[in-house]
Amino acid sequence: MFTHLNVSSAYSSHYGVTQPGLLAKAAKAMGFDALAVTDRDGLYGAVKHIGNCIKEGLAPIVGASLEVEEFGRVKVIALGHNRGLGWSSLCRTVSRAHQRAKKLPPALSLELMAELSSNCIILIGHDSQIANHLFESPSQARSLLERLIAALGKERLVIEVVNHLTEPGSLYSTQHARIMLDLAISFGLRAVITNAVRYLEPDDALTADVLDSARELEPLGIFQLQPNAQAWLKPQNQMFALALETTEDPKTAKWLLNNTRIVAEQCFLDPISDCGWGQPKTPEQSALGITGNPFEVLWQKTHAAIPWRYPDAKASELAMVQHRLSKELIAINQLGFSTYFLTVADVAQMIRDMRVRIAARGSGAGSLVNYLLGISGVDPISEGLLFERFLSTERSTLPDIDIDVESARRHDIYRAIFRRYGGNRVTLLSMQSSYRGRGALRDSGLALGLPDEDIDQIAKSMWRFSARNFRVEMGEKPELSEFSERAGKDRKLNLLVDITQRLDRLPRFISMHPCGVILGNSRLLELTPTEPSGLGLPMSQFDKDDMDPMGFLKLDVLGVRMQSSMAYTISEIARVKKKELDLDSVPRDDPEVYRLIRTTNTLGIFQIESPGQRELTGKHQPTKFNDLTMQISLFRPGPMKGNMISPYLDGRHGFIEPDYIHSDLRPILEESYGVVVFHEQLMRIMQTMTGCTLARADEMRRGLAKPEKQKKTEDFFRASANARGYSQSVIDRVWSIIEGFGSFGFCKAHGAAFALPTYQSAYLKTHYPTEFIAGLLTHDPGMYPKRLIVTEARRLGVELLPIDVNVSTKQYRVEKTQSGSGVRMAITEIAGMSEAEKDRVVAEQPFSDLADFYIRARPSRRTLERLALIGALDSVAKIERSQSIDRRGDLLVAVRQLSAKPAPKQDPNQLGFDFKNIVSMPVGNPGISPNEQLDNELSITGLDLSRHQLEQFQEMLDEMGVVKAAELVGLRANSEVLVAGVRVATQTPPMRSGKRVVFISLDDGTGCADATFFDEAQRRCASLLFQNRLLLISGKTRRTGVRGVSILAENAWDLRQLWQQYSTKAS
Amino acid sequence: MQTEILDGVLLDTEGAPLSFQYAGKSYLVCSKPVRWYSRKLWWEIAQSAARGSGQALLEIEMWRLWATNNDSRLFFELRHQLPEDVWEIAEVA
Repeated sequence: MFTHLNVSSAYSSHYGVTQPGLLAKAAKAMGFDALAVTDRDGLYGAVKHIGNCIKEGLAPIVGASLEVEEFGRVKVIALGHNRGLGWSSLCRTVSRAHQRAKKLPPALSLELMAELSSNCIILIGHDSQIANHLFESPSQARSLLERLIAALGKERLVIEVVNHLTEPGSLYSTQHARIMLDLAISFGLRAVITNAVRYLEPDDALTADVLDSARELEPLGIFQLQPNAQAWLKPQNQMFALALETTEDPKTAKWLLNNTRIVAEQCFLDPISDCGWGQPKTPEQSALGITGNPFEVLWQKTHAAIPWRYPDAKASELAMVQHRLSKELIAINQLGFSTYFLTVADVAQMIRDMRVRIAARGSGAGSLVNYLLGISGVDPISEGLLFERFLSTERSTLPDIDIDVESARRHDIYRAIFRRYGGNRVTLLSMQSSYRGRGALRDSGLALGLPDEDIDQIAKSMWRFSARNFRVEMGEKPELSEFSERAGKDRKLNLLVDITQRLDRLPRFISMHPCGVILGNSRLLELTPTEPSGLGLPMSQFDKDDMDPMGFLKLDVLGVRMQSSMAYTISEIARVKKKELDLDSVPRDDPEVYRLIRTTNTLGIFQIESPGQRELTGKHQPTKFNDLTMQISLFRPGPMKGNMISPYLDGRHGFIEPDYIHSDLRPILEESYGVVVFHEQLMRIMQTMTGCTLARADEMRRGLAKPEKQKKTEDFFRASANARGYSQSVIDRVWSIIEGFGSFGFCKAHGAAFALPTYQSAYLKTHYPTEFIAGLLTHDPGMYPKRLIVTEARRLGVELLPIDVNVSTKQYRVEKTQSGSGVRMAITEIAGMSEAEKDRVVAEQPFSDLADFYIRARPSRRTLERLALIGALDSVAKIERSQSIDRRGDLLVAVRQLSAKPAPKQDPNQLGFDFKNIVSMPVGNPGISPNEQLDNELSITGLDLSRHQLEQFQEMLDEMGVVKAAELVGLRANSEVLVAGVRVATQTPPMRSGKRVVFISLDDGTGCADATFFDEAQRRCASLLFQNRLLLISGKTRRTGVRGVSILAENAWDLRQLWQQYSTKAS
Repeated sequence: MQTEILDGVLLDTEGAPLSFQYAGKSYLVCSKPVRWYSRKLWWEIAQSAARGSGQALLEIEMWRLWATNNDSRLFFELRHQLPEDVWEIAEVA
């Protein structure tokens, strides 16, 4: 039996072509009983490989191809069935290879490799220096080999013979393979034959060419190419034939193949005993500071928190809390997850002790234990959330508890976790970025040597796009029609399409996962290889899908900008108003907050600011916390595809009588007017009608997508409901709902967890608009460009104070003004200003005059001029705000005079004399117009601060009768309108019909006008919709609810172009 | 330079040439033919690179052999173009 010992999967980034799953499947189909994956520089694909081998019934072999200084590449393969000795030495060897000075590719010295890889086989193949020297200077090859033998001994050292049937006498030729074999024999070393596999089939060699180009960063034809297409996963008979062709002697061929099998068998891994497969690993009790039984500790901690969370509860309520808590604790204990919960609670407590805002996300909010431990802030009992949706005794995988924290503090938290649990128990999680549309297009373009500008142009028209279907999409999407036509005539563009399709989905590079931290026991680093992350902290080479199989506890600590914005808002309230606001305990039924939300001016409010959510807000008109949960949940792909929104709204507004099917279901479905929206509702329906447990109900819910499980569930449901006395018609109707529910529902706990920051941000916007705007501008949490927040501030009457080098800092600060208070723009908005320059300005404030600023802040000439151009130097130049633009010319002259001389580096007091001469400002230079001020602001800060940028076209817009966004709500349905504005959002959400719809939001200073483009309208103006910023749109109004109006678009135009035509006509 | 195409190539069961026509004469292979694989610069010629076409676009089967007619013994390097199944002379000496 032959076994492939050298296989690079797609996780050898920019080298291997085939995903591990395909390799294992093909190996099985070819009749192999084992398969190795030996990826370049790491174990990136190892866990997936092992998982696929288990699935296919193959024995897994895992190694890595590593660079050893002076020796070239070697394959380090773990020996198996030794209680993890081989696996851990492989992990440590790989980790060590990555501990290098910055920018150096992974490698290690022979001595380190020999020491660390003690329980591994070392394969020396054709990509080693030994093989490289064999033709030209065999003596050098022999002396390198002698050093290897001295370091490793002969037991672990194996020569790898590869024959890719290249030109006779060249590398990878039969002759080359033969002298490698001879070398092994002459030194008394074992030799094996492999095919140095890079891809599954010869067809994939073409993709390998393109990957080589991406790795070399050169077009095809510039660098040394692979010699042919032989590096594929060859079947057994072809490998036998190669052995014979190489040795030309049946006996030697047999020896070679025997050795290959023996080495392979030594390297068979036992996933459980070698890699700890599927066994949960949590920090030791000592690391958590716990003594005694973890379950008892958990029991005490949760019970002790009841008075904190339920201070005014009556006896009956307390009994309910107790009952629920016992139920949850029993399940947790049964699953052996006490330590897990204590670990997460410990992290949450640590975060709170750091005074960082924290919120739960996901199904974890359904657990009372999480609420009592302070992991979640939503009461699962009052919100009707179910523990069983989160955790059930019917499953044994570790549940996901996701924590949202302030984005700006996330890295501090990571470092604190490392400190608290020790570097041997913690690593960051990594993620593999894969080729997607534009990335695939760019690297394909590079390979073909197409000009960058050309590729950029094409990339711009790729929108929501799977590169895998490039050719199909080309024929369908209007914005690609021009490209499609060109590709029909241009051979290289046509090739580009096919190559881009080939690259799609291949792993591209590894990076730090945005939120994952792995917490393990003190053996963690023996089970996962690590490498430095961009943050400096080590990260595992395994990704999130590898966590469950490896039994690793992954904690998602997600940085949420809204949490930072809210934290900043609270700190500004404390600073300016001297008021400590405890946002987590404000009442959640404040009518003013809901009144604000109902106006649909939800910009800046968590989760409900998107155009679609705004439209839904107009129709829905929420009045209580559960409404927010409802609204967030409904506006999700599942419920949208399941068509749940309209019947829900119809029920809510009394257009239809809610149908609860049976009085037993009324309490479950009342909140959603008879529509089954939540997973939790489905579970409770199953429980009510069949008498099963909620845990069982959730299992059945999860199985609904699989036909065979669905059939079983149906039989069970019908029989049990029948036995409980439900009529046939009720059973039929309820089952048809369950059946259709499929993947459409949503987890209520997730919606409720999100509703909390939604409410909290709305609360701040309602009661502290100035501070809230400062928070939004400082941390930029939303989906919209910052300039839209500026517009919103203007609409709210929050005064925005221009950048002033004397007072602006790196944050947006609330300042007292004559009229009350305003928000001072931050100096961070100046494009092209270096961090050091900004730091100096802030550190040296205030400045007595222009020269003083120049001497102490030491801005570059360009920065100085930019600051002057937008008026940021007015105060140091003693220019009144009312005179700002009139005296801009004078200021610019002064600045240019000043910067003609370099700023003195030392002792400004003595050398400053020359500069004092120009403190007297020049006069009489022409000022600038308001339009020029606007242009300066837009080009230097990107924010139209002095006025809305649409105002410059006002004359034309008025003449055309363009309607303002704020006026739309007063119009009748079906009115023909023109709207204009800055495009602030473009969305192409998935639609039930499968047809693409484009939503465009235009901001005109009075609010947002949302326009919908269907097929025909898209054909008229598709390219404009994705590329132009200033648009004019024609269409008909469509009423969508009490406060909801959107525009059914007919056409769109480029506003600047219209303006040019208008101006030429006028003059 | 015009590529010379061989006519009347006869193959053995393994696909190795046994005899062919060259310059109007019949040649018999008289050495053990060596097959190897070279590659093409596909991006300079290909119209498309759809899945399945990769090997034919990239790889080319080559044969090294000696062949004889009644007068002379010559060294040939042959290119076997697939999928057209055309035999070309890469080198003759």
